[in-house]
Amino acid sequence: MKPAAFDYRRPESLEAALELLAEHGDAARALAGGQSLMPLLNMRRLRPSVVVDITRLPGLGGVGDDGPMLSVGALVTQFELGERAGLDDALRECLPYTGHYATRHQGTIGGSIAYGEPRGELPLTLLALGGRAVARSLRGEREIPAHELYTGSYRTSLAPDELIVRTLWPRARAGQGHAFSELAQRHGDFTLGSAACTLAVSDGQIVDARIAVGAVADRPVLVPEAAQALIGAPATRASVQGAAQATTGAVAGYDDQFGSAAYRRHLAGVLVADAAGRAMARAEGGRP
Amino acid sequence: MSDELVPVELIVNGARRSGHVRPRMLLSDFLRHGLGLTGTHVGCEHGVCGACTVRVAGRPARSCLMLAVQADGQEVQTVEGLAGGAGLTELQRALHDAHALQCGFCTPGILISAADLLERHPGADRAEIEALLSGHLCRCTGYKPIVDAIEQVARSSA
Repeated sequence: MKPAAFDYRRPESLEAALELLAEHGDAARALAGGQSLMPLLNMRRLRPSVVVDITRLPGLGGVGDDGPMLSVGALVTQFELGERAGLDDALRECLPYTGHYATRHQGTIGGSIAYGEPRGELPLTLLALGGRAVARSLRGEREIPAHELYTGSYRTSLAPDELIVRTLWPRARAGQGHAFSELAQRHGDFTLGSAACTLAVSDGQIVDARIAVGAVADRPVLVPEAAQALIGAPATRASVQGAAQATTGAVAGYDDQFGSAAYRRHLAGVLVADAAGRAMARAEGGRP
Repeated sequence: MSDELVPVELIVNGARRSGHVRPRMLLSDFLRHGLGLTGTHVGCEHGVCGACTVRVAGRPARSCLMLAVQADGQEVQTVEGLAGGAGLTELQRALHDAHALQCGFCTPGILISAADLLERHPGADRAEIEALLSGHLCRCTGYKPIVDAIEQVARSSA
């Protein structure tokens, strides 16, 4: 369980890091928090010829407002973001699930989004909230909406020479609520099921909804059937139950040693009911 | 691909230490084999068991998930550095008194994580302590005495 040999580079500027990624392409790997990359190197499931250490690059930290979005620098850690006062409800709820105490002190937001762990909490939440990743390469900078980012299991639409420099997280507006819900066998372990949602209520009626679930496919997925069940419906428990049933009917699920596809479909519905119920209460002004 | 030795210099438990490492050498191996600091234990080598947890630049880290070369120029604290050579810390004493270790393999990582938590959240509650321990596998104690010991220190500082 030791990594194979590689060239180690620690560029001092973002420009120099992007040059290395452009030069080496898929043979290079950017090392941020290392909480996913290092196990893969230790197990030799990945053998890059160049490891580009970006952990000390200037300009990739910091959290701030970018219009209606929260802008989070790529190197901000899961722990650091979770300690921030006034954080969005869904982000605040998802961050403790991203790992254990020590791994959250190293694991970065940019790394989690770029890695695209199919059951990952941050990719799921970014998708549900309609957030974006900002990627940079020598060719320029582009914003990638979360629904265009994930293309399969650990696969993204990022090119090998692109680096995520920050991510953008929409904040809940007045009349809107966000929530996240998850079940894992042990705290910090890989998820059995998860759901994140945003929901808007006006005059007792649900006027907008976006529901995403994790651990039912090879990537986090939006469930438009669940959103359709909510939009136009009264803001009641019964409407939320309708969205849960729509979710169980719509998602595929899969079998593995932790649960059957049928269990995962059922669980997805339960978690959607939980998250949508809390998002609805928040949209109506309560703070459960 | 080069596997040549590169120089590293770091502050370990307050003392300047230097050496030469291959880029692929893990920090855990450098601490144990390069510096002889065998208090840092190595269990799973993929970040799951928590035994190798140390602090780098003031933040807890799995030393098996960090390259020694990444720690170049940084401050590292291992279990040997907790008491600074003077007896036991209050936390170490509490674990001792609560019989919170049997074989002791997981203890160094738990001490580092718990010390870090108690610095950041001095009055940490039982739920927070249990969540912390989800990242540390112990196969002897059943965890309860460990939680009790950490909680006792949290209460005494609250």
